[in-house]
Amino acid sequence: MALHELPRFRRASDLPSGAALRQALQPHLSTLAATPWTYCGYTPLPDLHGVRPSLDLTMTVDNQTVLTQACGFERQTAVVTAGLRASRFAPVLCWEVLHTLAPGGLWIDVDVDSRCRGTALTPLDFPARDYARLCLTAESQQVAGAVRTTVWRKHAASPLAAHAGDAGWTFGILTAGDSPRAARMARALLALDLPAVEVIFCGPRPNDAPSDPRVRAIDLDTPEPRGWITRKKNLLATAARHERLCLLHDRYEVTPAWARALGTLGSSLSVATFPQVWLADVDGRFPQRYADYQVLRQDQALAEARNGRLYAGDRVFYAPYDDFAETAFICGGLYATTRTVWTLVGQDDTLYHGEWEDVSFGLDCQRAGIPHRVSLAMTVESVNPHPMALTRIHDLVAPDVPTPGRFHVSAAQLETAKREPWRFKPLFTTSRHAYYTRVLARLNRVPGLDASLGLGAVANCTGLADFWRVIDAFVRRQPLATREAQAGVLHFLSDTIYNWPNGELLQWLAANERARAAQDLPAGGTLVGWGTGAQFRALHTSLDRPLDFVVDSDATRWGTTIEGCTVRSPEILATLDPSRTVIVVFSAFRDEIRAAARAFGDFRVVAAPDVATLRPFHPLTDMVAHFEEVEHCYPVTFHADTLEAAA
Amino acid sequence: MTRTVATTPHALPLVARRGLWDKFAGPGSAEAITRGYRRGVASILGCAEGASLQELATLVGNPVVNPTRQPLYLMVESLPTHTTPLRHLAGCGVETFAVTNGIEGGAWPLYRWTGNAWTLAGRYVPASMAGHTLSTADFSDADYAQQVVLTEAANVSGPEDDAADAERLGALRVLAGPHAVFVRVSDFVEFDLLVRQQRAA
Repeated sequence: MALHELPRFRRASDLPSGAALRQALQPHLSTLAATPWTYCGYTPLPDLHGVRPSLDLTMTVDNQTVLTQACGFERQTAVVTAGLRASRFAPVLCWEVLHTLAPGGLWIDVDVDSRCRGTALTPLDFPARDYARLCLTAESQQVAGAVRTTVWRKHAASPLAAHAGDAGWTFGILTAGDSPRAARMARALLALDLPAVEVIFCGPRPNDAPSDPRVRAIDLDTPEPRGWITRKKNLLATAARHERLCLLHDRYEVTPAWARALGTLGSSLSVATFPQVWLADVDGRFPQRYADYQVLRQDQALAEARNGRLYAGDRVFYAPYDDFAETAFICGGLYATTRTVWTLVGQDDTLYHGEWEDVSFGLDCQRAGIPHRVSLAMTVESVNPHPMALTRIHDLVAPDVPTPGRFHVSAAQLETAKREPWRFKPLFTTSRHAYYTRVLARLNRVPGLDASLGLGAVANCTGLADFWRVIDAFVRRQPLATREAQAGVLHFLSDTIYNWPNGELLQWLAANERARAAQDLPAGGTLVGWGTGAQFRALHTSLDRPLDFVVDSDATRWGTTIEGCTVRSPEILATLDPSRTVIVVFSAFRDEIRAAARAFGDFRVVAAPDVATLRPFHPLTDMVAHFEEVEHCYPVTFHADTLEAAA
Repeated sequence: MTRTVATTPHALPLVARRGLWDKFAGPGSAEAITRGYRRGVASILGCAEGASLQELATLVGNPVVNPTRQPLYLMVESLPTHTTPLRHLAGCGVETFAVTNGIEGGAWPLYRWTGNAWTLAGRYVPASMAGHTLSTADFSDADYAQQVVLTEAANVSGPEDDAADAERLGALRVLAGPHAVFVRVSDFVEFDLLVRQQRAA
């Protein structure tokens, strides 16, 4: 009889052996014989000379594992654990064991010694972290061979116990501007079948918020355009009257099912969320996973990442809900937790919306020994689609090797999108006209543009990708000669598409600058064109500087002038200094021409499209491709009152 | 200041050239500088007169803005000498450096405020200055044992150029000697920190 888990979680196989466990427990047998005790371990419990636990836990362990249902909250006088750290769920199990243990209770923990020295996140072992330390003391520690035995005493009730009798819930809703949705949420929350409820808005109180003594509003001292959601959440936790705390963004459909689901979270609630979906179609057949629960897949330089509050976006993955990692974190939309837990950790209010504040909070909590988890007691509907829409779900099969994810878009969805697009909800809550107007207005505020883009330019657009393609073409025509100008375009994308963390924007900016620098033509020396066909006529005026002359292999053109450029024989290249000459190829036969030019010297040879001022601004070009894929999966782009079915 | 021997430019301690600028806070703005200090990243601060020195000292001395007590780095044409501005420095409670940028053709002197005087502490090497254009004479001042060398990344004056930064750092290490402490001055601090993580992994 022992704990077990699904093979895909790849629990380590080197557990303390039964013999080692027996040896480790030998000094404690008299104690265990005199008191009821619970065994919770992956090592099957050996015969202990007839000393048996009152409860030998046999269960499948995963993210949802709760021990207080079987063992009660702070009821156990003694618990023996073995081999917990072989599992990725060790933080969850340690949290649960701690809360099953009664004040004054004994925790005998047996495990592989090398695993008891902390993790990549912190050098502290799980029972030694900040939360547990408030109620747990190490009484003794012994190492025999590869096995460590630590005896912990719960010297006080856990922090959660102080308010365990308060079954009321405080719902804190963040608002920015009037929010009819927040008002609807408040009405639904007040109607939930819960012992006590209060609703606090942090931000403007919605105009039609219920007039009820259980509803109030607080706010920042001064408005903060960055979206100071960390501070707002901390303020809500401080203002909460009830112990149980649910912090929400104003985009959820609250149903009566919430009451039952919240009620299942139990007394050992750490920080949890529920699966969140946006229903892409009117029939609710195609749920799209929302940003709810993710994992930072990183164990190298983790302290540095956490200290700098900077994380690489390509290391953040959507985990399956039954999975867990010490670097798992709940995305900020819905936290179910307690005032006690929140007050102990709190969010780092030097961070603002879009600054990985949720990752940092997750890591801070887990460093303190407070796991971030998912409850499957309900699925919550987010009424807003995610701006980037195409979620991938990832299987975390090994700590350092995330398996590439799969789209959360089914074949059935793609088929329906193709055949019955009218079944889909719009991706945007606004009309096409309103969206185009808003985006173009923001684009035209980008500093350093030499022109503006009006609605007339997008008159033939019907969707998202075609609209952004027009913007892409417009931006390509802009000089964007300075860092500030390029950053201005990125900030425009950030304001209108998705609020990417600044580190990501700087990555794009650095890459874009490097790409453009590699394409820059020298200010001095000789600039020679090669080829006088259609590409020459299309692009030669788009170079940063005029050509000195153009060469062509067609002898009939030598000595003539084309669009102000003299045409010469390629033989003239033999008279030029290759170190001070650049040849711009106006032809699809670039490789052949490059070879021909090199016959005259080691010239720098570049393709005209690469050095024309209509150079791609890669983040924007990539976004157009992304939107094409989005519209393939979600055929209705804009709100129905303006007729936009893109399929 | 902690002595750090980094083998690559990205592994050096970082100072922001114009604060942690982003879409809400333009390069060099008070907001960008505040954002940097709040997140533990010092910045080079321009200062031409006493009034702004007072503002900068107040800003960086504020424990809410600068909870990790990062140093104050002033970029000035000449060292502040008036009594009033220096009083502000003394009161700000963080280590204070000043770079005088009036010298052409060599590395700029870097001074440390000791509480009652400026002492030469090292050099500030602008990005425009290649390592090979300097000599040991630029680093041979005898009045300090361990000099601090603030070296601008290529990204301060142009595109990011890892290879050029590495080459320059190598050259400067030879010139400044084995005890010099190097600090990277960057306009892309958040990018640098991500690169550092990638390299460490």
